[in-house]
Amino acid sequence: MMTWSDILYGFQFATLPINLLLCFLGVLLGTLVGVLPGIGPAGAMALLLPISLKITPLGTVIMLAGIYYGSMYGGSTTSILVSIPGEPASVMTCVDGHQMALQGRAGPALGISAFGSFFAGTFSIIALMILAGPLAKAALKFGPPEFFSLVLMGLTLVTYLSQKSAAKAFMSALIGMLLSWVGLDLINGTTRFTFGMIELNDGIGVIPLVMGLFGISEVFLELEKDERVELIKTKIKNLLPTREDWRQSTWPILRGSALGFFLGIIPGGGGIIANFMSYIMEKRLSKHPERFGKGEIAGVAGPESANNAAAGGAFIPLLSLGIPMNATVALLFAALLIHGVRPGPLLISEHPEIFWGIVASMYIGNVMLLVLNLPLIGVWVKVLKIPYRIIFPLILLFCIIGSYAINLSTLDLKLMFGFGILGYLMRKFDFDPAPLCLAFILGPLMEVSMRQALLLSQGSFSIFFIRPISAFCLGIAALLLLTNLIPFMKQRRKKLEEIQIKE
Amino acid sequence: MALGNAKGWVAGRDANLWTGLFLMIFSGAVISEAIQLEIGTPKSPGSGFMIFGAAGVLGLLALHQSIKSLHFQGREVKQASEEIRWKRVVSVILANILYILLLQPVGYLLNTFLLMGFLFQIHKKGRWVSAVGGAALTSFLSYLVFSRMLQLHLPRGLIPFF
Repeated sequence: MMTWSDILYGFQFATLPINLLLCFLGVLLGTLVGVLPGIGPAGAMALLLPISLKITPLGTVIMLAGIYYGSMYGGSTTSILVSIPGEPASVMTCVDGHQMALQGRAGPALGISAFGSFFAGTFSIIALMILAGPLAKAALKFGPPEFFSLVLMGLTLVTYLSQKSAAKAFMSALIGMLLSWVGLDLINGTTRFTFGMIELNDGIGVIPLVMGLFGISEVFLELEKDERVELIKTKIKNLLPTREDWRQSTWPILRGSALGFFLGIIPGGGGIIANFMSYIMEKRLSKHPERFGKGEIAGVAGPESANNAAAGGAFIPLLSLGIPMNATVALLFAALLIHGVRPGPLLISEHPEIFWGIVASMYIGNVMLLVLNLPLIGVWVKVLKIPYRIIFPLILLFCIIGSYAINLSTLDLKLMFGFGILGYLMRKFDFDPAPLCLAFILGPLMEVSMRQALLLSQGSFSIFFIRPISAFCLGIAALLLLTNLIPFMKQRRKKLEEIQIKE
Repeated sequence: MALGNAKGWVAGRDANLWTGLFLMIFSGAVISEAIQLEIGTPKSPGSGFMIFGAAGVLGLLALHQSIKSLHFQGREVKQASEEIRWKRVVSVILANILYILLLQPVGYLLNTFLLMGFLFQIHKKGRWVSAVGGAALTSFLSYLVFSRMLQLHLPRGLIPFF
């Protein structure tokens, strides 16, 4: 059970000057990558992973978490002012946010988005404090079958919720798993897919993979287009929303926070889906749905709160179960692993300074973000004017240094560019790279759990079905797979009926 | 053809067919490797056990995609060639491949300077002065921060004193 002394304990670490500086750096960079279209939090976090080797595990997570939730704040600025989502998780904010800006109400749109984000961020931190402990205690009872089924359920959910085809998302996840098994077999020490390269015995590094899939491939995609960033030519004033604005936004903020938090916890949920769902919910609940799309403030307040709450919610499964539920959080997982800290049920008891330090730093980070995003909005508007032709060589340079720095090996550079090309082609062929990344991170856990479970049961697969938690997770996974198959079956039946009628 | 079409991009039936076929061949190769690694039995799963299962499912899904794309009767989506700057993407990929190959023999500083100079002028050709200035600044500053301040061992190559 959480107590005030736990929170104070966390603040003791989070308020150390170096951690405050790292928190500030994280939220600043997060806002920056949120504002700039073309580079996401996953790419930015991957860039900083090698640098994080020089700092403490807590400092690393404080900085990287700051980038994650900071990008959610920053994404709204570009959505409102340029009508291009700075972050995919701010896509629905473009609709009404940009309309408000065109009507000369950019100030209240930015203001309510920042206040909504602040409230949602704080809400999700409180929920994280309350829920993470009990969940971690429950997770202590998990054995190999439970972990295998939980990971399988997570990956099935990720593919189910993927914005692209579910079958392609599943294939993407399978490729990620296969890539994760390159190197030494963790159980019997056999080398797999190393092609005689000793450097591959430890497997493919997560940093080259993530930098390639999210950093390099995004650069290639942006290079295809011509630079066209058209800022609105209105003065940004009245950042503080009026009483009427507050009246219209209070419930959307509350609903968005609760919905976003819930969607953040479930695998594959994350900010993008939360942003979409909140917009749809607000439009359905509104007495004036016809106003949506024409500059309705509720269409900004709800979705912006939802994506921030989702960012906070995603920390619960990571810190209590040791399972990252989306690709960006998977990087936080990787960062802790690099430092020898394994997130999971034992994290709170073995490393309380990390758990409570992260929680406390998120409070501090949210306050910093409010200051960064309201009084300093003019700075971000100027950042938006930086041409991409200057930004992309710098992104490539950071990727090169970041990838090379870990092992001082050109093999990592080759792998990074290889994954960059793979990520680019995947996007071109409508494959989502996020399931690949998540499966790559969870693959080793999945394999070890499966094989250990089978050894425990002496080869009987029934072990996965007789243990309640495992059976529940597998049941959900099966249900999701079936719901994916229903439209296909219906289509097939319809076609057969058509053929029969013709005959 | 799905890929490499000079007139534009085709993301539809053909693309799905070719990716499906490619993934089927890929999964076949992985399955044969899994067999060599030893699949084992459920009672004593070997190194290739999970690989075999995952590659098998991947192959089946790829087969399904290929068959589905053959029966696809919808309209193909084409993107006009002028919208996509192919040459730009390909030249950046080639420049980076060259960069990796030359990193050890040429060294970080000079190699990065050349790469940055090329990248800075790729969007607007003819801006050589600003590109060279930008390249010199970024390569030297990054060297200073990462090699001198963060003590990262970057390849020296042709300039031994740096």
